[in-house]
Amino acid sequence: MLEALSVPAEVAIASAPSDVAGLLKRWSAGDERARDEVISLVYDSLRQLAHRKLHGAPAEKSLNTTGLVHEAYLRLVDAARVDLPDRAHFLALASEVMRNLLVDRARARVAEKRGGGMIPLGLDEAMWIADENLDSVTDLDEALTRLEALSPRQGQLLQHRYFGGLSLEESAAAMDVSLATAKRELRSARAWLALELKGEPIQ
Amino acid sequence: MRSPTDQRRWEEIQSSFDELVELDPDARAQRLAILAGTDPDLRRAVEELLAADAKASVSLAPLDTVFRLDTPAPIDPLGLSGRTISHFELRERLGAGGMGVVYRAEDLQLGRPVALKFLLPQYNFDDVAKARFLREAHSAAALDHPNLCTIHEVGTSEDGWLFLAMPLYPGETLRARLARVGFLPIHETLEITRQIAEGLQAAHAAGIVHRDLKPANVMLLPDDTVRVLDFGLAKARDQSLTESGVMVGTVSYMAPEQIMGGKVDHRADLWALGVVLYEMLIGHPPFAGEQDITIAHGILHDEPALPSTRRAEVTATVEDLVLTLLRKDPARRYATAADMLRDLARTGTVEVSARHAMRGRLRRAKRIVTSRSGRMVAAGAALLLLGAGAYGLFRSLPAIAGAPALATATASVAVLPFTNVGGDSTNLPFSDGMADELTTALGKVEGLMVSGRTSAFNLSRKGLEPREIGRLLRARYVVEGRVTTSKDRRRIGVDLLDIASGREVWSGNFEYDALNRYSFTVQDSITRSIVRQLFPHLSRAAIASSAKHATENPAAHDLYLQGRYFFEKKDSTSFAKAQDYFRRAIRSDSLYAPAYAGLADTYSQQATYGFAPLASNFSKSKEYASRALALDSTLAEVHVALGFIALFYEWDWPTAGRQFETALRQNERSAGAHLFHAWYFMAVDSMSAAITEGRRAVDLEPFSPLMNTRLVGFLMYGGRNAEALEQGRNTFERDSSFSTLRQELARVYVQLGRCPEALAVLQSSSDQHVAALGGIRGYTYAKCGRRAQAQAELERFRVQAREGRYVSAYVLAVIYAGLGDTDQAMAELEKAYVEHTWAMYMIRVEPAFAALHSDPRFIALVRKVGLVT
Repeated sequence: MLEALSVPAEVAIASAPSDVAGLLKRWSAGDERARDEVISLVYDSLRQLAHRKLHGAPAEKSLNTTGLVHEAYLRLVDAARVDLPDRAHFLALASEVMRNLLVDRARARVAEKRGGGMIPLGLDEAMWIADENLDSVTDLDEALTRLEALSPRQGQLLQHRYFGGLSLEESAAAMDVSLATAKRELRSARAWLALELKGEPIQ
Repeated sequence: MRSPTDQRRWEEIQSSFDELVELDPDARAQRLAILAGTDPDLRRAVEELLAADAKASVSLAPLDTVFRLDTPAPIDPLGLSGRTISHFELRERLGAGGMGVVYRAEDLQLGRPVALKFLLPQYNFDDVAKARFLREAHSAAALDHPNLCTIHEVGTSEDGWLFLAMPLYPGETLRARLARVGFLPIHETLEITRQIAEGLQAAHAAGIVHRDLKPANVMLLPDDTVRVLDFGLAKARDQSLTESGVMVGTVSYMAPEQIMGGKVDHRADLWALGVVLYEMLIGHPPFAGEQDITIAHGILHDEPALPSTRRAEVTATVEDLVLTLLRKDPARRYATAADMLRDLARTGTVEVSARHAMRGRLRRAKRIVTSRSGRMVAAGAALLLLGAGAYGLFRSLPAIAGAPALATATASVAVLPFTNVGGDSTNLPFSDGMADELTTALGKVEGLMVSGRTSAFNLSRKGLEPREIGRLLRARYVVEGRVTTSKDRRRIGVDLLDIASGREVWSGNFEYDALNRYSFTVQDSITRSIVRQLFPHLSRAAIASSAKHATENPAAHDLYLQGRYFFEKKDSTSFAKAQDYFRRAIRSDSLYAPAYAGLADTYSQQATYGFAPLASNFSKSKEYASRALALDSTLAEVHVALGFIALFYEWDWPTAGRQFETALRQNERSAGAHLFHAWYFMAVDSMSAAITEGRRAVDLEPFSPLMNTRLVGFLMYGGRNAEALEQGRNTFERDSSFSTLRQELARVYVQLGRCPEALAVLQSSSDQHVAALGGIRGYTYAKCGRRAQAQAELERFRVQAREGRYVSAYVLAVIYAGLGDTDQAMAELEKAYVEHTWAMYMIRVEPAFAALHSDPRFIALVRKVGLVT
């Protein structure tokens, strides 16, 4: 009877969470190689998750950057052992990876449409971004690159928001500025972006 | 050709933008005008940026969905409809869940209807996994228990689909029930819990663990039987998916050991049962959040809020039971479902005898709330005392960071201004008005604490997120909405958000013919839906009482809303527009009392703001207020209008006091009525009562710059300068753009002899109104040894008067008093008396005139105004 009640242990979260937590600690201590390792883990994780999502049950069939980034976090990091700054740094990093992934795919699709495809994309990677949104992705990326030239921090703020779904608190923690500063800078950055995307950039 | 911005330029633009974006429109325009003189390009850039900022949330909204690929669930995702698989003929799709798609089918062998569940392709794994799934499913199928879903058959189709055949159960899932009613009655909750536990016990005894118990897997049948679905399926699923490392399922119901990837046994199901029980009691799971990560963190580390603190009916025995199920360490939970059932049985008997007592307690609690909000009509003396006690307690609760101490025992809600999608400003009165009306209608519901309209609107306009606003206003729920108006249709979307759990509790969409500009039907159904969500047990009659309308004519109401909208702007053109709209509302419905009251207020305030002559305006105001009174004497706003006339024009203090008291009896939560009541207490020289009323107004509208500023004044007039300073500074920190606040703060600094600060705070203030406060700048100069600048201020006013603009003699009297010129000050005060300036009743408490108090001319003047000494 007792035996019947006990079920063998199974692991719900595959990768060893402690690794990433350790890498984050090393990175925050200044080890840049740790950062690269985290990036490659995040990259793989985001691709896998997106793939799963797009082939998932209809109810789960929605790819949204915030969800993916947070799910990657959940998979890779032992939540109980990571504090806010580390979590924020992780999410900030993930937003960068997410941006690269999406923008590369959008570019490849645009090129493909023009008949000059360079990067062959798998079927599901082509599904990442709806056709009508391809321009929005590349436009946003280009606008952010321009903003980064004016104010790197504001560029990051917008990247965090649109590609990583970071909360303002997380963004502020990742950049090590006060919440008030992040809030203020986000406001003007958003107004700037709105003008930029409307095609009426500020002179 | 202008050159593109570089870093330095962007910094410049940004710093001007940061400063200007905080200012009100008038101050903005002034600053922009100054910029235009020095750097026209900068001005243009800042102006464009400000305009973009105003629309950013709308124009950037599409970005939030760019990366979302929401494909609507296909009607027949597997394309199986109409096919015959094994001995089943498939009909239409019934539904889809995380794991499969369910079709209605006909069992051709037995001639009975069945539900066929097909596992989605990704669960059609390799042969090993398939075998494992079939084994699990077969053992689940072997279970035969009234509280478990029967499985007729487990099979594989010719082309390899895995499927389960089950009876076609009528009824709804617990998920659907909860979505419909919020939470369940106690006895029903315990009965459902019992049946789930019976089912669990049977399955566990057979060695089968559910692993994914949640409300969506609990079927409620019409005969009150409960059946648990999908037993054993999760294990096969998890085992296959574990290899790819994807987490599936709903985090909310996962046990800590499941989240940590530890050993999972039948006690994980007991945890899930605890979560489900908690949700039936309270309406949401114990650990909630927007992101899975937040929920997971809560499950691992937080203790759940005690159900009894959220719902008084929950007895200690039931609470113990929930908490035992929800112990983080599986070893400390019940060992088996049977153990839990034993405790539950005891609870059940306790429950029966306790229920009546509970009901009594609830009813009493409700009465207390009623009396506090001033809506109690009849109750015994004992209850009255109880009510008074509760009120006292409520008032003495410490207010944290200036926020009001709202009672927590009842539901509290803040209504945010509805977003006017598309930004067409002609729709603003409607989108604002809809939120206004909801605030009013919800305010009539007993036990529902509705946050002040001005505060909710202000915070929302500052761009704060709904959650933050809810937290600041101490509201448990936030209502937000959107209005989209096209040529002939108007669409309204409303969401009710639970701040604690971050969940959307309810959301509704309404659409109607836009020619009918206002729709009471829509307003009422929104109100009703919200009230039902918050108080599932409230009677229909109680809900209906919140839907009493002063007019049944939508066109009249729409015009009235336009009038209110312009009235709130308080500038000369808006007053005129407001009058026009109120008049048109009256033309549409000549018996519409609030429109008359609105017209009365518009006339009186137009005069007190100095935009129109006193006598003629106040006589019109009185006429309209009297008509409003004749139409509906129960409206608080009518009594406020009459009190206003008595206080500011007729100088009839007893009448003013009576009118405000009546208004407050009709609506204790009117911040405006408390404010005017406070002004009244100044006239009868009872400053401590004035301060109490001023504080109450701030309690009700904690984020209204006006209410907060007026409290600064009351404290200062009452001689409590240190408190005034604190109140002024706290308000100033939150919002420094309100010009009147700067003036009040400067006065406090002058009283405290802190001239540098007084001068600094006035630096960027503008004289918006020509009423009494306009002379503060000159007064401050005079008191701070800058006599030449004070004289220049006097000269500025004289020039204005020569240009034909109205300059109140009272303003000049304040400056002369500051300069120590008693004769001139007296002369101007006499003039102000003849002009009948509304501020005359303040002369005795006005600190600027303190030096005149012993002057016989001043004493005579005080008598003439009718101030009692």
